[in-house]
Amino acid sequence: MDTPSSTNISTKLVSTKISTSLVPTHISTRLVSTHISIYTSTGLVSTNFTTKLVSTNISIRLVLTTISIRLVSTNIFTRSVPTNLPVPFRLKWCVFQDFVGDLSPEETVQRLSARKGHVAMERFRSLQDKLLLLDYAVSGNDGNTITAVLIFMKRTLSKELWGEWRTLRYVPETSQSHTATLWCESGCSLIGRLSPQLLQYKEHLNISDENKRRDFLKSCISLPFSAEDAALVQDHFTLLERQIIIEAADSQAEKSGKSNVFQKFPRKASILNMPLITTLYYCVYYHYHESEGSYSSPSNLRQTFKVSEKQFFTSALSALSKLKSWSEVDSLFSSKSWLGFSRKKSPLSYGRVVDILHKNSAPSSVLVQYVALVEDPEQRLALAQKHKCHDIVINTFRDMKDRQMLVQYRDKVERGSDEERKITDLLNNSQIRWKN
Amino acid sequence: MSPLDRIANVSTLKQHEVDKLYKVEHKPIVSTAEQLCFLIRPRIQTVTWICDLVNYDKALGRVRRYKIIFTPQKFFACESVLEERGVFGDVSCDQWDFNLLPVDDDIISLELPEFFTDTFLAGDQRWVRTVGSSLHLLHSLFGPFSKVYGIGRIAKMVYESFRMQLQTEETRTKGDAQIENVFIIDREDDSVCLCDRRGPGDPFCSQVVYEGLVDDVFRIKCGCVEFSPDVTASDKSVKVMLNSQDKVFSEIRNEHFSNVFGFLSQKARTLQTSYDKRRGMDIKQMKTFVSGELKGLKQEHRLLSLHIGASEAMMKRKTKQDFQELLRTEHSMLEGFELRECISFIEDHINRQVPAPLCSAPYRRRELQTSYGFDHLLTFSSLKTLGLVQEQQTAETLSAMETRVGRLVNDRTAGKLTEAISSLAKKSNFRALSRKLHLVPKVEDYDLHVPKDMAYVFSGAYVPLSCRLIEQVLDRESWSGMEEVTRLLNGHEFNVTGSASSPGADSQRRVLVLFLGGCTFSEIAALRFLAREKGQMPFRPGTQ
Repeated sequence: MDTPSSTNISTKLVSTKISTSLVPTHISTRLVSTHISIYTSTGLVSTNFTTKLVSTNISIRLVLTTISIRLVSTNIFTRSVPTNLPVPFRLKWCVFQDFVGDLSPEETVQRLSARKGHVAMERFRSLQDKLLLLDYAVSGNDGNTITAVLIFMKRTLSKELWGEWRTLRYVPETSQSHTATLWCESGCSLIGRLSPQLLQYKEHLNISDENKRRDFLKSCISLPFSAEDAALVQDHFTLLERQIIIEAADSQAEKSGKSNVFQKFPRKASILNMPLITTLYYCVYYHYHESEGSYSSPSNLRQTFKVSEKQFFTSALSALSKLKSWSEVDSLFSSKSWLGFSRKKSPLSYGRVVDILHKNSAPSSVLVQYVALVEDPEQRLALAQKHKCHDIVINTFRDMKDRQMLVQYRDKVERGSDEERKITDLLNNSQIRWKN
Repeated sequence: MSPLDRIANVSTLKQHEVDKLYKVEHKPIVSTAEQLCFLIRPRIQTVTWICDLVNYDKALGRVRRYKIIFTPQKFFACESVLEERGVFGDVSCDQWDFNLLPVDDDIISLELPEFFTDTFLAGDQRWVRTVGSSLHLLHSLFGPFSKVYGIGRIAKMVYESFRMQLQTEETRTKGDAQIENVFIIDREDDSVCLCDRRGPGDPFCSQVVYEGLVDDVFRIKCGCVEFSPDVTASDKSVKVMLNSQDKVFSEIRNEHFSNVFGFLSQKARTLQTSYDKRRGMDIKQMKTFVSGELKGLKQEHRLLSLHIGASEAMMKRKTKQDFQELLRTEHSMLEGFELRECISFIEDHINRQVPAPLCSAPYRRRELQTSYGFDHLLTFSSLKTLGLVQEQQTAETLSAMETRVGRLVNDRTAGKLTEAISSLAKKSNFRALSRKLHLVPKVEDYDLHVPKDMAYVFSGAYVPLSCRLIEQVLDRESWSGMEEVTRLLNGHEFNVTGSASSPGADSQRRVLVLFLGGCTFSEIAALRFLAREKGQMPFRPGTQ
């Protein structure tokens, strides 16, 4: 009687209990029933069946052998995926293994990558096993698998250990943005790329209420940013604080109808969360004349945030041009020198200035002044022609002693206008030595 | 237009008893339907909204059946969110492997807009397997690949994932190999040529190819663009599918913008003569004309007017932004001279809060911050992690790369590099690379009408790096001789010669180029040019 109990079965994993009741050979016909119970580590798989004996003196083989053959041939109790299995069956093998109860870390990772159903990782209880699992996951390059393993580990490890294991294993180039979103309070930052403080700072985008956002930003200031970043976060907070104050005051003023400027130029949007330059523009637009003490005065902003001259100038120019207050625009440029003369200086190139003015529909009398200040004669000429500043064109041609161009230009000018007469006079002027 | 529209539009869905279509948002659904089906991308945010919806219904005592279909992949993290919210048992989850979307005859999109941010910025590799399975799909459709070239760390991972899938899953290949060469490029270590608005592009070069410009100005989504009423000269906006079916478009798409107007006017004239033909026709001829040609002519006429309108709109917009000056600045930066003017030009742009071009020059980070908003603190750190930004503490300035902040100004969503970011990470690297690969042609008068090489996509100033790489590697059929180049690009190159059983007749000519992280239309145009020159047919999936 063959008892295939021990030879092909790894006793480490499975204990088989086979109880059979067999009929002695001398009895001719008897029913034979064999009960076979196979115990495995996860559950009982048992089969019962009966066979009918036909003749005597036949050595009865346990029908069990057929079962055992089937079992043994699939090497159920060995760990590795049998390579003689055809490809389509390999994963099904893993499913079976999982059911039976033992996947190695490598196979677990494979199964996770293949994404065919849920994989139980609970059997990996020792830290070594978990880390091994993680190693395989990382080498497999599939982010989803890595995330799955990390989620499992986070659930089953204490907070301290969760923070510490990183010193045991370096997880290169992986981020778990899922896990970050889910469990941001974790002390350890798995986010490979963004540092933890930046990650926290990023949260401010999710806060819609401005007061809460301001408080949140305040709390962020104490985080260990780099020096440059810290300054910027501080500025962000200060700006938002200011914006809230200005917004409150201005909307009040607008509603009460007392202030003229809001009546003339109604506000289109709130100032909250706008960048600094926009805020500056707004303040110049609505609060240009306020003293430096007030929060909404542009000079206050300029000082607090150390706005560069160029930036300030550009914003102020645009805002004032929009308001069409040309005298103010003029005063932007003038500076009194020590001799008491005022001369125009500008951090921007005049060409740019003219551009901005033109976009805001400045009258040509204003434009003319600034076109005249453009240093490069060619650029000046081009601008003057574009904006029809005839005097400048004429004068430039005269300075360049270019007769041909002057003649051509005369045709472009209105007939009988002052400009035409001026050109004619110049052309007739015998004192000028034309070059062509 | 979304990928779903390309496959099944609303009427088709209604035929299958779909009651109504909603966009998944964070608010309850008002409907009498018994079953709700969610078709979503696997984002945590969306899943939490769904959980809220389900819980809301449960609180109201409403019983419904829910099904969530994740496309293209189901992620473990999403399921665990469902589990945590106690909703896992109430919904059934499924996965729709939507891997490839043919956008045109020679372009396939993988439609993974998050690929770039997730993979390169956040370092999350979850899409690697998705891309691998797309390759697997192509493999099964078109037969085994003879040779695979690649460069980049992620490219290698994708290839390995593909190989692994070949081994573990059933593969049915349809016989003969139709694709000979496969080229996988990723955009990570390739720090020289990085993102554009929605995907990698070329360093700070504005697009001047027609298709690129259309994309810049009007935004092409899934091969479809919407033209607003001022373009169509009618009172409604028109959605146009832009692919090679559109005869007018297919001829001008790769052309440099300066050629476009000439072409369009010529086309208009030929169209007019075709119309005029009918004057001298008798009844019978007229009949054939009407039944046969007229429809085609009318179609062409309509498309032509659309494209002319689009071109005019683009011209207007570009001149407003001093386009010419922008181009000039870009060119000089590429060549490395007149840097000071470039810098002041850029500073100007920053101060005016308009899109500023890239440069590799010192600038004040503060300025950018103040001008474009503080959210960009995060953007900058992201750039830094990508290796695009370098800090160099000199006296007062920080030298760093700028971002092309076109839509950053409006969107203000930091950390999301969906806007144009591009840069020279290492200035010296770029110079060396450009010298070795002759990326900046030294030709005085570049004839844009009859271009000689791929640099025409940037008005003769620059050849896209990726295209040049492809050209070189395919010529040599390996990476030999390019060691220096690969070193400058941080290595990770590989080439594998697969076992092609019998290369089919066509296979000699087909090249598959896979851009991980997307590519710009300029690069596509350059590749098409290359294809014409070499007699090969490129075929390009990109992740965006």
